[in-house]
Amino acid sequence: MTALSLARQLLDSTRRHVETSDDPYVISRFGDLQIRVDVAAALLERAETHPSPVAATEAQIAAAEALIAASNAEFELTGQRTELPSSLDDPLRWKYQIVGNYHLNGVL
Amino acid sequence: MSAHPQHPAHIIRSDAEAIEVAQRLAERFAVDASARDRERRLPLAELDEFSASGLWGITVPKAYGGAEVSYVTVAEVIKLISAADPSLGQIPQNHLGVVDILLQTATEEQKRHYFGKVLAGYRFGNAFSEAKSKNAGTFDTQIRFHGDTAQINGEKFYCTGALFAHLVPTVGNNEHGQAFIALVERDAPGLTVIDSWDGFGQRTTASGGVTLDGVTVPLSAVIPAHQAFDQPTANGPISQIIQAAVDTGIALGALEQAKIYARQARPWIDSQQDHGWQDPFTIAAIGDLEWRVHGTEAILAKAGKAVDLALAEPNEDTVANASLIVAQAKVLSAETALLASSKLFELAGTRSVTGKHNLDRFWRNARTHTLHDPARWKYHLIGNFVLNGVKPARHAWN
Repeated sequence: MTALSLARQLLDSTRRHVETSDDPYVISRFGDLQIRVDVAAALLERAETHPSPVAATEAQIAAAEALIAASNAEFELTGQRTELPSSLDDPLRWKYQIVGNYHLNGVL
Repeated sequence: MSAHPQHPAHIIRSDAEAIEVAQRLAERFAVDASARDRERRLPLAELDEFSASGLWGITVPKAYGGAEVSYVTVAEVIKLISAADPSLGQIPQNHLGVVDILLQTATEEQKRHYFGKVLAGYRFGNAFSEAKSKNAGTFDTQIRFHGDTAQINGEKFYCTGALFAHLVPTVGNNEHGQAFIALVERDAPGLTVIDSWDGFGQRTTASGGVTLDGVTVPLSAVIPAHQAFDQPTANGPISQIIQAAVDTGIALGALEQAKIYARQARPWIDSQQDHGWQDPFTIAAIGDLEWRVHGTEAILAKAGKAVDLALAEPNEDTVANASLIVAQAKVLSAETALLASSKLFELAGTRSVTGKHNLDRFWRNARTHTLHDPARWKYHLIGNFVLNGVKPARHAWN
């Protein structure tokens, strides 16, 4: 499962667990998660046609950040935490370097 | 400022032409943007060039002789101009909103008349907001109808564009609290535009005050603006997408400068590198800004499509959907503009704060313009739909 679909799944299961709420902080938390998921989806779509060689890497960063945020929200709002797949073989921290080195220095 | 443009405007025929014209103008506007900001030199010549280019008429429907471009294009145009000079990007904000309110609520005869003026190069300013009313959506300004005229009395603030306008659309409430817009001629007796804007950002928008002292207009100059929100229409999302496009432009402009100055920065002593651009933390920070700016642009384009759908098929669902996606663009553009304009200094180092570069204008502009309406309530708006299924309230800020 991709990071984006996992993030969507966590957002959905957390939403079902909370059901409804009139707590402004809980409500806005869901707004934040929805934005993160939708940005990742929009960047993934952009990467399909955009000529930039790092467009897909940018979409991966957005998806990974959305997943981390969804996982944190799941734990905070439901007390449970769905185990996430290891990313040790494809570390997020180096994706920023790849994107930055291309845009700052033109280096791939 | 007279009530008429000096020269007739060019008429733009297509989306592609609109983008091309905006790119060309943006290059020219970028040259003196910093000097205009520093000297608070009001951009009258630039505005004349801007509206004469035809870009202020691109949303006029085809049936009335305009190009009726998509809102993806409108957002792109405002973004391009704002990346060069966000004051110039902000000034047509209300003009474009008024073109749509005319489309939504004016009579056929009024549409023919005012759309014709817009295509000829007339600029609408605005006298909407009031600094002293209870909140942003309440108006103390009164409009009263007597026979075939209407009279307006009140005091306005944040009147972006009014100083440079040929017509000043003015909101007033009738006895029943319904909002009407009167399109007041710039030189009408009783209308005074005060150049009192002294904000630290968006310095050359002249967003000052307007007073209306017994201003009288014929009924043919009045539209029932409240109808744009009594029924579901795209007007709220249209106002908001232009806001988001301005802030996206500021983010783009700041990121470009961040890269230029970060590459010139000295290497930090502990990095053991020869050049600032080799700093691994600088490189990663630029990577972070890049995906955020591109994500903001991608959502802005999606918001444009949602606005187009709400215009083509206005109903509760399409208008709510447009408000929701435009709200995402609003949140992202506000955050990205503030982040990029602040990171710029962090990555470029102390030499970048020297006054001659005037690089603080990006942050000053971002902070000022993003105060138009708070992003914190956009998280709530989106979450309230996701979690509780509640559609956004319809008003000019959603």
